[in-house]
Amino acid sequence: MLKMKQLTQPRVIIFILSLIVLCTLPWVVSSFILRIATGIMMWIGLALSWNMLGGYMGYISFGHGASFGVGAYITGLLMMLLHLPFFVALIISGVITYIFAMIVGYPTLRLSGSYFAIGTWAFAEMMRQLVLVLDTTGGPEGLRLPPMLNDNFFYFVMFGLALLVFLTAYFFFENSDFGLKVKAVREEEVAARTLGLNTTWIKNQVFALSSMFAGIIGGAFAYWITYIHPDSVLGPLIADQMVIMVLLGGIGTLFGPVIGAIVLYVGNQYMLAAWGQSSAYLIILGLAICLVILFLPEGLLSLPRVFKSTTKGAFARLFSPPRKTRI
Amino acid sequence: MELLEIKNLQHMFGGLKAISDLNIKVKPRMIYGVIGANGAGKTTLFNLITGIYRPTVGQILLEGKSLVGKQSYEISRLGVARTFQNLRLFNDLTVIENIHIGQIYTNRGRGKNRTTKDLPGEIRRLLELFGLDERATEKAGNLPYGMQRKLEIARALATDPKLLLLDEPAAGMNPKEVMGLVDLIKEVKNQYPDITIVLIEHQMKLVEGLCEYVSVMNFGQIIANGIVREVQSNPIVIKAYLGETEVG
Ligand SMILES: Nc1ncnc2c1ncn2[C@@H]1O[C@H](COP(=O)(O)OP(=O)(O)OP(=O)(O)O)[C@@H](O)[C@H]1O
Ligand SMILES: [Mg+2]
Repeated sequence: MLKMKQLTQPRVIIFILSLIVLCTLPWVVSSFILRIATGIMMWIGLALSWNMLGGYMGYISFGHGASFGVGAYITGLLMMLLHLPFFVALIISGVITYIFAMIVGYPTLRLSGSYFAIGTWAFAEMMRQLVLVLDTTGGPEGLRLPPMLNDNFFYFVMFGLALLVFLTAYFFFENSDFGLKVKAVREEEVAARTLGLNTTWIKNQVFALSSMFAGIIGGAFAYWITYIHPDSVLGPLIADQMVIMVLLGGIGTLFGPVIGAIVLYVGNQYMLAAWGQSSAYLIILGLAICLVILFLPEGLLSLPRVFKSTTKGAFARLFSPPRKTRI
Repeated sequence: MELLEIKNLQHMFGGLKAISDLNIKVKPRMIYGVIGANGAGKTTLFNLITGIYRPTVGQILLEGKSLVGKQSYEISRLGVARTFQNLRLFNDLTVIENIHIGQIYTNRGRGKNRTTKDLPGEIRRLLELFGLDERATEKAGNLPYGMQRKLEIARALATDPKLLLLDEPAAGMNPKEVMGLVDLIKEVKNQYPDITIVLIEHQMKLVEGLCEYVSVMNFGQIIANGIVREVQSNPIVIKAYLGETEVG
């Protein structure tokens, strides 16, 4: 995959330099900023994982939060009941969410379009209700994990996970035959099948892989926050935010979800600091989405291109009917 | 041995008999035409061969091996490729990517004694053959209609098929483009002499120009078989076609 010559390319150098800068972050910024950076890393990972399914494959899921929640609860339970070390619990919850997603994917991936969106949403809601009534999960009381107060540790965990998801997206979805197969499913499933692609298998793999990443990140989140309950890790807002971040940044691209996650998370934290807990965030979120879908269907990533075109062109675009989006 | 043999094929859509008691034999390396009025069941026949539908009754054999019950992707890997009446390109992907996806399984999973192809070379060859080389990095959806039709054939050929099914390849083309397509398909046959082609067509000009042998379908059945000249003067066929023009 990577050859020596490629390592000296400007974009590879920039990438490595930014990694180094990001590694030094804990020693140059305040712990408040570091916690925000940790959150950004987490959401970058989540948005990128959703993008594998929704962006590259075109299966818009509103249930991706369920994988996050399942991963969080499994990590929590493994640490509390079996007293497993964090990283062992994390790996096991990754494996379990993967298998779990294979099972859920089997019926839901037969649906497509809005039916798939509704199916996955219903499934996630079912998980939340289940966790609410089960005794082992603590029901509405939630679950406490062994406390670990080390901001640097969690920053590096989330950073590592985001990087892992990013590299997976880059190597497996952007630059491989597998990625092309996944995009073929998005563009024309029937045609893909008649060209020899086992679309059922491909869809299951992508669904399971993207769920696994969300599950692992959920597990890390649980340990970071140390207290989880059904609404905090299985609420509908988690999946919604992943969807919105990706749409905002640019669906089906590598950097779109990264940019979307940064913008939305920072905006969210800013509003939280400025106005405290309020529903204004949700209203602004909704508004932002309407604007992006109407005027910038390819997301913030396409902004430079839009600016580059003539004023007249941009003006015309403003008043022309919206282009198709993949929802 | 026949390359493709279909025996007593029947397919129902609910109460509608789209295909009934259909028999076809296609010899290797032939260009075989299937003609017939709208709704005769031609596309359904292709959908049955390629595993998109499963026949209610009957047998479909490729080189003596049954295709019935196999998945579309398995049938493709056995050497059947097709195009669609209503284009089904990967619109947001480039011309090259479209063809590349067709190639992914060419060198795998089929008989052991197949030679391994030089895939990048093969892409260049297909681009040139179909006159797509100048637009190779454009998105398929941005090509003009005629080129999209050609790209679909190129993508199907990229799977290195034994049997190529073309569903109304000239649909929506003007007479000049149709003649161009006739030459193109002849050239394809020239460069890939081992391929067998079955094509569905309304336009007699294309059928006359290409096919050695035709079957005429009407209401899910084959009402006549033979070389083109014979079939054209067959009273049953004339009646079926005139009947159609009276209605529509
Ligand atoms: N998926 C389906 N469900 C129900 N009926 C169908 C389906 N597909 C085709 N049919 C019906 O089966 C019959 C044959 O259709 P088919 O598309 O095979 O015809 P065709 O010969 O390809 O016609 P055309 O020349 O218009 O393409 C028609 O009456 C059609 O309405
Ligand atoms: Mg048809």
